[in-house]
Amino acid sequence: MIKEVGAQDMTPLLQVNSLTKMYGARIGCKDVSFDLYPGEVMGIVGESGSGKSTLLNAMAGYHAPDQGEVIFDTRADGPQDTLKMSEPERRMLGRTDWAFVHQPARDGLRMSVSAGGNIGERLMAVGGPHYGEIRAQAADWLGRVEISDSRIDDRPSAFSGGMQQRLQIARNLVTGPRLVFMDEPTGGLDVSVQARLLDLLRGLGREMGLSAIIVTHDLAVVRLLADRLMVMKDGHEVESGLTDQVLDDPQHAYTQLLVSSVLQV
Amino acid sequence: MIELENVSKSFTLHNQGSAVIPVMERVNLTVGAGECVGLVGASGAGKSTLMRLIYGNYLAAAGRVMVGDLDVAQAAPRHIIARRRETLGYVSQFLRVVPRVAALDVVAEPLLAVGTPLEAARDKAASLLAQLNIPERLWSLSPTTFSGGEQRVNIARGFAYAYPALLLDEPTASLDAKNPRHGADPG
Amino acid sequence: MSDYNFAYLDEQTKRMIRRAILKGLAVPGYQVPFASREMPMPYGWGTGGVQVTAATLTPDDTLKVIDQGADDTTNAVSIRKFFQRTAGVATTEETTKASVIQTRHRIPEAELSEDQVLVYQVPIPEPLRFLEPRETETRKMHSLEEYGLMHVKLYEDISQHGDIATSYAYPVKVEDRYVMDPSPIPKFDNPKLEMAAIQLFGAGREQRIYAVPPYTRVVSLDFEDYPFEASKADHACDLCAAGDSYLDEVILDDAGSRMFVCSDTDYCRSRRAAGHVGRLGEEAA
Repeated sequence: MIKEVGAQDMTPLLQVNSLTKMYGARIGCKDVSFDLYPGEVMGIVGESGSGKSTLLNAMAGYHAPDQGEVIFDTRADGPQDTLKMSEPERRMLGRTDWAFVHQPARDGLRMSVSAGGNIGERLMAVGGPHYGEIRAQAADWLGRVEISDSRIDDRPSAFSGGMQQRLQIARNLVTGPRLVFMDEPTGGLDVSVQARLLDLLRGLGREMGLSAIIVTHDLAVVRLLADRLMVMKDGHEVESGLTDQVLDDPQHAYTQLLVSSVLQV
Repeated sequence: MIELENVSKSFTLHNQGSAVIPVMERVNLTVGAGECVGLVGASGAGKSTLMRLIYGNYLAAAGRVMVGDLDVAQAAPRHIIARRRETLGYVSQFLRVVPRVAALDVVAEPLLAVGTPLEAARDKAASLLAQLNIPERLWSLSPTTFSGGEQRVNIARGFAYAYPALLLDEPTASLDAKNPRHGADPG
Repeated sequence: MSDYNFAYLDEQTKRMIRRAILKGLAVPGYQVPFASREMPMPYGWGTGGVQVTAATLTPDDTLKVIDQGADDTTNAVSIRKFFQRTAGVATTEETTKASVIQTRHRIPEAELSEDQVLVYQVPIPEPLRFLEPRETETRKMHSLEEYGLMHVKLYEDISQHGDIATSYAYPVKVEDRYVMDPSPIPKFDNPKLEMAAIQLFGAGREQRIYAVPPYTRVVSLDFEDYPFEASKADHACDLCAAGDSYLDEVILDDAGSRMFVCSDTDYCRSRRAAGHVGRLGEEAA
């Protein structure tokens, strides 16, 4: 439950080495490398077109990168390059130890299936499923994402944007993944709904010891969610470090510009 | 506990003609365990900058910033985060938390971060809020919604977990004459 | 006889279909794509089944065609006549005398034997289609055995209706590998899918053929706490008194009186011929 502290020789959960994705001659992302340790939450920020979403999709295996390694510390076999895994292995990882929270939420939900069915889907992939147990787990997870369990049989299309996002989070976390990829988790939500979602994500992350990689253009979101930050521009990493240090004492010209461009309230 | 060796800091404003603003040069400071050190100086003398360098919020341009056995000027983010969680607290007059979260939960969070059970963390938070003269009916409100809330909740949050080292950067700056006394005597 | 090649289709086409059938038999439950031909009947009238039957028939075969268990409905009659004219094969209504049986929506009540072939007409071959419309994705799910979605469908059934309300086209897992749509047979028929005869499935519009070889394991999907049940109307046949056959409900008058009769007309007739009499048997016979 408590994040492990100060262990210098801890194995990174994820090692990204020289990851490059080109779209023809145009750079998607180039030579991105970093290590993510268990329990760490990393934010990736940049403007539209900076390559942050390309990077996220390349890491998660949605778009095959042209070059590089994405090494994950698997439960069974230790660190493995997920890009060299067979497709069944990678998809299995995507259903168990990895989770991907899409934006908009409807991209990560089955809109014609009830809330309970959405949460239960990952559980039903394993043999000999038990309806009562799946339903109990679905109800429990609805509670954890602050949705009344009286909504368990409602379809997500009847939910507000914030509820859809919380449902998507429940659907992803139900199998207890160790690494969560998030694409603009608060995107498209009202400010008041964002705050609740951020608080929820902080709480769940702390309880489950989750590691996460969060792509967003919203610096306020990463300040509240991320331990560390990577700033991207034109497909390259321009700066990285402790989140509040990068935001309060940016070293690179572009980061200074990005930080000073945020409207103060 | 805290040891600064030849620490220098300047800011380079890349977007304003790369102006370089020197703030401090070759500062040395040693604070032993159990010591209480006050920093005084005029506005702009670098008091807050020094605090932020120790907390890792600002990046030292040169020198070593040791907190225990960790050089904050060089350490990986996760090690600084761990040090902040377990060892080094920081209280300023500014509160940076998720909006609309109840004061009680804001104060309890540092305890939850080190694995304190929810009930125990909330009990401790409640006693701190009471000590700081915040009426119980306000505990479920966001600290930004009541007068003096941010500052007092910030102090309570800073003292919720018993950090071996604590940085206090004008935590009582905007409190009225009656309240600082409570703030100064956290028990 | 006529200007048609034997059983309407040209020999090249039949060979192509036979290759698909053999592949289907080699990989039980796997949907084999095939180049479905235009047939002189509309989709939905069994063009897939007809092509499989055409590729299966030999001049020595005896053909039986049923629709919802009956030999005398329009669909069954027209397909039977089609093969009488284009193949000149013998036809029968007796299940035991047929060597090839083409069916829509039923498995005959009489137990089939090793020298028989049962050909199903299939409207939608893809059991995962209900929740995943993308063909590329469903094919991948089959190849990787990712069948969680199938249980999502059953979960939705229970959460909405209190039990598994799917009563026909009930999904099965074949030989512990492929999840298969058994065509819209009532789930009462599912246990019969483990049989001695060869079972071939043809979907014309969707251009898929699949198969279940004799004595293959076919398991209906379910939950531990909601096990599969092969249900039928809780009556005996009002004509032949059979308590073990699948029944059709027939409304008799405006006052709402009704009767239950075997949907398998040949089964009912043969029982009555053997002297079994149901509640309304005298009047109806």
